[in-house]
Amino acid sequence: MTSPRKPGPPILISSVLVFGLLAASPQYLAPQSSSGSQNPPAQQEGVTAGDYVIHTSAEIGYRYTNVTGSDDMYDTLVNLQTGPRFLDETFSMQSQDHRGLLFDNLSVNSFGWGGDPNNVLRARAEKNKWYNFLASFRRDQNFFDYDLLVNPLNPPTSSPSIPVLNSAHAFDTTRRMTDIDLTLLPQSVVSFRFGYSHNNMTGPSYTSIHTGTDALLLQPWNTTMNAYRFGADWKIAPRTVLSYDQFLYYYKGDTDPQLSSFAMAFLPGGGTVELGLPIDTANKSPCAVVPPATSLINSSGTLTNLDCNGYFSYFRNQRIRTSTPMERLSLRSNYFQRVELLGSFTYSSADMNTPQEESFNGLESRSDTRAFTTTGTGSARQISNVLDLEGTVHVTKHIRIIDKFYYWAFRIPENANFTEIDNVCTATCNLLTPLSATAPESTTTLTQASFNQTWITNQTQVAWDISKKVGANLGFRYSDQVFKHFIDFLPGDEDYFAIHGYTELFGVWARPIHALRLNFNQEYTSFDNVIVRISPRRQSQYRFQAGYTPRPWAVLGGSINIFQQSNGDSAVNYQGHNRNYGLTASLAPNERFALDLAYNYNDVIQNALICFNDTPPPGVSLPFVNNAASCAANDPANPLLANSYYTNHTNFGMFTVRFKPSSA
Amino acid sequence: MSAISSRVLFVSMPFIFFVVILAVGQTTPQSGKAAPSPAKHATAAPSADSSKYVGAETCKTCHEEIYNGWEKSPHWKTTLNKEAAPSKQGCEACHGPGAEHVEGGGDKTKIFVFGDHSRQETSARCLSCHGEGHEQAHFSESAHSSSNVGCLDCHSPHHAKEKPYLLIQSTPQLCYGCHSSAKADFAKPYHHRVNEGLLQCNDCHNPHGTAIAGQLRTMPNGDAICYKCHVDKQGPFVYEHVPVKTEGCVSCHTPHGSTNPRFLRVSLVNMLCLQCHTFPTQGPAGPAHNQSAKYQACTMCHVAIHGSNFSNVFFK
Repeated sequence: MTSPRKPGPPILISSVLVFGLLAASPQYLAPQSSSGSQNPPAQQEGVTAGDYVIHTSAEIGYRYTNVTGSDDMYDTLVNLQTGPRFLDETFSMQSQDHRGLLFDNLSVNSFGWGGDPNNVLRARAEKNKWYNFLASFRRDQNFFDYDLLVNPLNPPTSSPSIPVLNSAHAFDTTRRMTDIDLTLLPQSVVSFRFGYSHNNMTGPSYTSIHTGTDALLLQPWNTTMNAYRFGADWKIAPRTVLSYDQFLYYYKGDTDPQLSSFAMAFLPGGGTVELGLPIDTANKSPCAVVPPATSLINSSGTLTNLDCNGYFSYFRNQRIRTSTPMERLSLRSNYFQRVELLGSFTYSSADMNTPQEESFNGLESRSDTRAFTTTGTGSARQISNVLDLEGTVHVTKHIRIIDKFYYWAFRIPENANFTEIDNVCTATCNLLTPLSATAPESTTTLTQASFNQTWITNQTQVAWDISKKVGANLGFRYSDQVFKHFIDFLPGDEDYFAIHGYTELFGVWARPIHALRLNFNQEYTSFDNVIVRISPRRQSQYRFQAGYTPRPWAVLGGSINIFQQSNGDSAVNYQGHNRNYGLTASLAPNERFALDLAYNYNDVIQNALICFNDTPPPGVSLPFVNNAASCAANDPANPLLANSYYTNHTNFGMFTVRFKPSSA
Repeated sequence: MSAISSRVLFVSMPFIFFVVILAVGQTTPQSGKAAPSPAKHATAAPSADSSKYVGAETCKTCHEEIYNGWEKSPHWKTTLNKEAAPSKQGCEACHGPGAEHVEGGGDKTKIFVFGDHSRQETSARCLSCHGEGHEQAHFSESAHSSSNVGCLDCHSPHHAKEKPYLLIQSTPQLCYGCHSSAKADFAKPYHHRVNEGLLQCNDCHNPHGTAIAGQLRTMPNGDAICYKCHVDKQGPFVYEHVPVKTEGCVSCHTPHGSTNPRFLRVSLVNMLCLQCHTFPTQGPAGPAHNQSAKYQACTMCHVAIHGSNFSNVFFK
């Protein structure tokens, strides 16, 4: 197995250098432009062409990268490669009197062209009263090959020993996203909105299939979402807008996996068989070594045990099609004195269908199955209703009551009707058994289920601006989540959970001087039930943020963010927290010099009792209680009780110095 | 409190709220040319009397430097709207009628000076025009608003560094100014490409507020905004993995960034799965595999863990 992109030995020297050149038409030369993550330059005069002032800049360069260690790990985390790059480009045209012929303003910004993993182009145009236009194209190349994730951990004691050096689920995919939005007559009594989004992800990836053994599958990724939006806004009264939106989403999933090779062996008499990813002969995976052979694959590459799990071929058709029309009606109004209202209702009905086509040829030794084919169909719908009601009442100049009501309900009827025909050996079964020596056994799966959830929250807050310098808010949020899962609609075959949540909200802010801002917010939630085991029964959050701007060019900040969850059930004992403490400073006393500093400490834990099955190596004492009562009694196959303990402490520090020889 | 009674109480709360609105007795419409409610408490409130307005050119005679910068900004276009009332045009659309200010020889108490007012008051000025927009519709009910974060904490009509949306700083640095923990999260080994410019904070959050907590956006049907990009995970599936729909993506992932592959909340996949798939559990208990040997990552076999159309145990 190799990574989906390239194997390649590690490169030696570790350094990443970027040489940037500013290159622009001299008459349009402007200072360094901004990408999505950079500070903008001071705007220069630009060039006048007709009614428009034009600014443009381009930054090109050459990136030289040399990596020591794992090339695949570098690509997983960074993936900036050697080569010339179009690092940044900006272009803008602004009508001097805001009355351009086709547009008043046009701006285009892009970066990353020439081989970087992320390329972005964003464009914006507008003409007063006539239209607003936004467009973006984003390309995200995503490489992943972390070999410890999804790895069967083949031991060196196996014969043969074939370690897995690349992730069994590596991928090298590229996602291309286009978003276009156009608003016509934005200031008119009736205005119209049109939008289109396109999301396409392609590229090779690997996955695996668990039949007998785990075979490596090549999975050429190909998914596409086309989303169309249309909306109209009608100003039915002063400061009151009634809107209608229609969304049409179409999804196509054409990612069909097929057999790939990891451990191939010849068969006696000719032909080859794929033995799959787990090669652990001591534990009979894919099978044991049968003496007098000393290895599952002999020196000539031939399989020595024909009773092995193995694959001759595998294919699955996953032609998924989902269409999702959605309609939304919304109203927002500041028409009444002291009252602001907002409401919307959305109805949607997603409809998914897919064929169920699968074929396997090989051997699943446990069930003596030499081959199987599956045919049928699967379908599911998701009918959703979303209601949002919000309102603010300004009781006095300093006190306001805010209420937010949110209702989200969906049901997902699920249907599958497929038939699997297994070719089961009638006598001795091994990889050389012809299909003619098997008998077909048919199994039909008819799934009829429904996955339903209703989730309602209501949050009421009282906000009190005690003065211009200090204020506070106090509130309460109630949530009601009801989950029902009907499985085959048989009596008693139903999951039902109702969870009520009670959250107390408190916040205080202070601005003792204009340059200093302090915020503290706290939430404490109690749930009376849980759906999944590590859902919290208690949850609290404390956030403190301070910002101090002693000079316009000096911004200092600090924050404390503490998030805690727990489920005290004696069989669970879930404890989790994410605590974050940070300091930042940004100093830019002039256009030539700037300094950014940041430090952050992050402390994460996630602990819960788990039952599992393990055999510690000799002399190793694992931190669990053998045959603990709850595990042994309730899950005999996993009799060991342990506290699954995860802790992570991260210190983050950064500083950036920017210096420009000339401020021009 | 029983489930039924609490539910009845809860469902009735919005209606109680609107009854309170009526009881306040303030449901008379505002005059057509007045600003929304909070602004009317402020100095130099918008007026229907056009004689109280002097026009932007008059302002320029004293505030030429500010005017020259403002003239290049989108707000200047309000002066082109001659059909609109004076309260909707030029400097006075934001700062209120200027006649008394001019007659007073530049008396600052006769004009709306943003720096002298609370964030609620200044934001109300902005929202008198921008409040009708889809993006800004939730602002009054947002966490930012409750925390005294107003329009001018992110936008500057006169001193914007970023021309689009008149931001005082480009994103994500603007957001990092307060949310420093996010800055550290996005620097972790596995992170969404925000610092790289591929994504922006407002792709997932709406800084002006949304209907749900965290000012998170949602898909129109209420699903998590994650599916905007991760379209193959949205479903619906023939076999749904329960927590994906009931707890959300954050049940297993930390979306800003993580030290663990695939943004997982813990470093070992089996530890993450077993924390739920252990008695008592919703769904099956963990497998009887030896956890010291192979199959440490449950996703080795359960490859379609976000939901499957082919296998009720997510094998394919």
